[in-house]
Amino acid sequence: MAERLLVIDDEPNMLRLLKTILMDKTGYTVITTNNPLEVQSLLQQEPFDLVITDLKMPLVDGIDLIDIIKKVSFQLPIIIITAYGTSEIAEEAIKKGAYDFILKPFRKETILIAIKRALEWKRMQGELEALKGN
Amino acid sequence: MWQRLVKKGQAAPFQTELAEKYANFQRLLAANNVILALMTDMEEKLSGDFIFDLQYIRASVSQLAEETATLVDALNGLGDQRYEGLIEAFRSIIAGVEGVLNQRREIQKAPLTISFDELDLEKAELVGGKNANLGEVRNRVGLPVPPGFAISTYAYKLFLDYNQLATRIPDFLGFWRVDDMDSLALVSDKLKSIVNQAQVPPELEAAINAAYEDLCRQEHAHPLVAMRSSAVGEDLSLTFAGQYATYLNVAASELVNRYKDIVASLFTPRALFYYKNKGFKEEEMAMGVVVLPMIDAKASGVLFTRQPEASDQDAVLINAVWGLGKYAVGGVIDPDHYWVAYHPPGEIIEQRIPPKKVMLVNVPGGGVQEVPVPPEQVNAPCLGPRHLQELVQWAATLEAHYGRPQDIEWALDFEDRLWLLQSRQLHMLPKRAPEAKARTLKQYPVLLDHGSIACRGVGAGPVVIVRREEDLKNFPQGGVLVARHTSPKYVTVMPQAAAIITDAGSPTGHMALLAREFQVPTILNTGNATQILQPGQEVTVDANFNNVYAGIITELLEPRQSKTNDLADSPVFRTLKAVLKKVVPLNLINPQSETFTPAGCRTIHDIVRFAHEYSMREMFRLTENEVQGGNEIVDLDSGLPLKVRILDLGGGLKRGWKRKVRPEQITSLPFKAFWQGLTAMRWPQGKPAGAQSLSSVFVKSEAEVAQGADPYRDQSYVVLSENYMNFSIRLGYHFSVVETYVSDQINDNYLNFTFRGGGSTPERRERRARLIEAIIDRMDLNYQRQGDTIEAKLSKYPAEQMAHRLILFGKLTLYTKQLDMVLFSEGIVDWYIKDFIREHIEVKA
Repeated sequence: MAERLLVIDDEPNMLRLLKTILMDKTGYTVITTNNPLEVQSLLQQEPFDLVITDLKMPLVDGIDLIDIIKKVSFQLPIIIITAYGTSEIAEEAIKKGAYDFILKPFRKETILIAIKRALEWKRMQGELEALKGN
Repeated sequence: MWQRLVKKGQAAPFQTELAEKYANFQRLLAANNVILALMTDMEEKLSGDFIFDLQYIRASVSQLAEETATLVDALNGLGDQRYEGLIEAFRSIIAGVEGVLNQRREIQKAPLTISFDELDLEKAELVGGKNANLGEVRNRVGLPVPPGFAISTYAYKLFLDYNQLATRIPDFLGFWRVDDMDSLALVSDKLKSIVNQAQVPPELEAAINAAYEDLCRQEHAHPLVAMRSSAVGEDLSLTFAGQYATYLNVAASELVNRYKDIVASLFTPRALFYYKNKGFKEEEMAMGVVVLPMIDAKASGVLFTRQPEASDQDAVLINAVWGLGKYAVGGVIDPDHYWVAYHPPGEIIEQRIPPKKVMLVNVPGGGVQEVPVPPEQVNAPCLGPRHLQELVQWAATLEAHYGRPQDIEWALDFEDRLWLLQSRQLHMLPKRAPEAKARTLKQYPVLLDHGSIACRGVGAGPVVIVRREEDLKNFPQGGVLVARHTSPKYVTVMPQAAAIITDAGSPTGHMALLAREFQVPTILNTGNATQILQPGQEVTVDANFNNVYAGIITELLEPRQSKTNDLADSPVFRTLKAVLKKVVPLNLINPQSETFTPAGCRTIHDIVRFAHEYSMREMFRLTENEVQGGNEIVDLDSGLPLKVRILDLGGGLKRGWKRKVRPEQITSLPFKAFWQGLTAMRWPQGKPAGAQSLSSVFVKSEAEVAQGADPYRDQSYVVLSENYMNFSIRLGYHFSVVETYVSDQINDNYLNFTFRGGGSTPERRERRARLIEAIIDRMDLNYQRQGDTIEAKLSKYPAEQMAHRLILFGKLTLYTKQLDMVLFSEGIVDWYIKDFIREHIEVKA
């Protein structure tokens, strides 16, 4: 089954670009939202394999969103997208539990590779959990 | 800093003035480099390989504006405000760029309703995507689409204007706190009711009714209709995820109310969130509405012209239900599933007919309802072989017309006629593209395998060696331009050129930008393309992997044509493209041309080109005549074939009345040190380097000058003061810059050395760079190497240490030039590295 990705950015143009690329280059199922307020309910409705989120958004910023996401699913990998020159905040995001961050603007391959790595990480976490369970 | 350069007190006023000029010159060059790098960066983003947002474009433009302003200001500082026209040109170009950035897509004026008979894809902006596609299929493809009409986006604008909604909505949003989903939903409901209470302007109401009457005349009946939203750009704007409203089986009396409902459906909580933060703009989601007679459907469904997961399967996927089509996609019931071959058309590869217990049907008088399926139909297939055959033919026709897989909605009426109700692009899951690997096709002879790629792609054709401007005049269509240097003048033949290859040049230079604009595959800095490639010889230039092959290799050429940019249609992309149109194209190509003026500058690139050209003239020619005394610039009379022009900022030389000075007259400490190294150089075998051996070094360059190379190419420039030197040294293809300040104030001392270029083969250039790197490594400096460019830095060393290194750099500069023709193996390089270190570095210890 195709992995499900949730992409969050307040800028619809950015969402369009990301969705176009992910649909064209990968077999993932891509759900997008420009409203961070509905992330929690989206995550609760259906399971996701990965979240990609912008860092700087009105009302809820990416850092706060990490807490919200981790509360729903602790092992869900999160990739942060952020503008050039804000890497300190991105590092803070990593400390908070984000899996990776990408600086804008970026190459298509960059995000595709980051997604692949994050999904691989999640898969291995799952394996480990299963081993512990046995 | 500049006071420091002339601080000994003997600086005359004109010397201070020169120092200022030089400061401006440096400011200009720095800005020039930043601007070229910015342009390269922005152009690269258009390749389709990058994801960027509007913020990136704005930030880049603002930096571009800032640097260009600096550049213009510096040129005016340098040229006593003679270039004020450039300020005007700059302002107007930047205003144009800002205009692009702030452009709002206006909703175009159009009739309030438009019949399907008059619609096609080109009218998408006027009526929205769904309407335009129905018109396209009906009028250009010729498949059966019911007659109908569109309510235009201009009608939507009229409706908003009439009720002042475009101003009331932001006011309303500002009044409400929308910080959670519940309040968003509440505000959404309020806004929808505002829209519902709004008045449809009388002329719009009249237009909708008149269009309906026309439809009735055409149909010889008074049909109930289906109404659906048809937003501009809806296919892409999944972000609002508006499940925009669709109303089925609408009675004539309800047309206007349902129209308001559809407009109100724009104000979903999701959309509101966006409007709240970014402001509501009516043009962001211009709304058209589809109106078409309700088909009394016996069966309906959807069709994919390809299986989304398997684009290479030659078959269509059809889903079907009894009654109206809403249940085929809504997940209410499990539909029939047919997998049907294109060849032979209609052959069923696989089908699944689950029981269908309920269906949605029209209610006479308006509305729809769910009813049980008659028992004899529950397990029966909705479609027969004839239907499947016809649908497959539609699929083939539509794919051929759109060139892409389609997603279709269809209905079958009780007279057994099939109708097409919607066609839109189907998003396919891609076949995995093979990983890009460095590629060299072993079976073909490789002529060149080094260089710097300036524009990716593959091109092939006969070699045309361009040595002088006249060679451009008869440049053939599809020729491969091969030249020693890059030149913006090549732009005149770029539309014809299949590829460009040069011996020397930088991917961030003027010409490289132009090559990318014209999408000409270009490899620069190959070292010896003009020697290896023969005029008329057919070659294939693979500027993806830096190879030039003998012959035309069609298997390399094909992929380039199929290259598409899936992002090219996105709004940010279009914006960047429009911005770059006002930035990158170069109109000022020939400095001798009459249009090479500030008024002739139409892009930022023009301004940069103009400023660069005139800064050189200001610095080294015009100043000669203008500065009081008229002769602050002098030539060095060294007896060596090295043309050095000196600009003294004060204290750099003791001079007489002549236009020339001898090396002994120079008092600048750093120059004396460097010159000592340059002239003390001996051949590694121990042969002293007198004027004669130096001459032999330069013979090649002189010959090149005679062949029409730029006569200024071998001109070196040095700017001096007692403690300062900026020496730009050109020795044939070698170019190095030594900038240094050496005094007793240890904290002020610094030295920057840059070495770039050089002729001969890539292997030899590589070896030379390695040689310089290895030697510098032994000189205790910070350095970095990128390709064949080496930069070394040193600061805050005592004067004697600084001077010692300047002597070494003088030696090294000549040493590398002398070695040009002898670095024929790796072993030799090691030998020369050891030789230099033994002879010149280790002796100090």
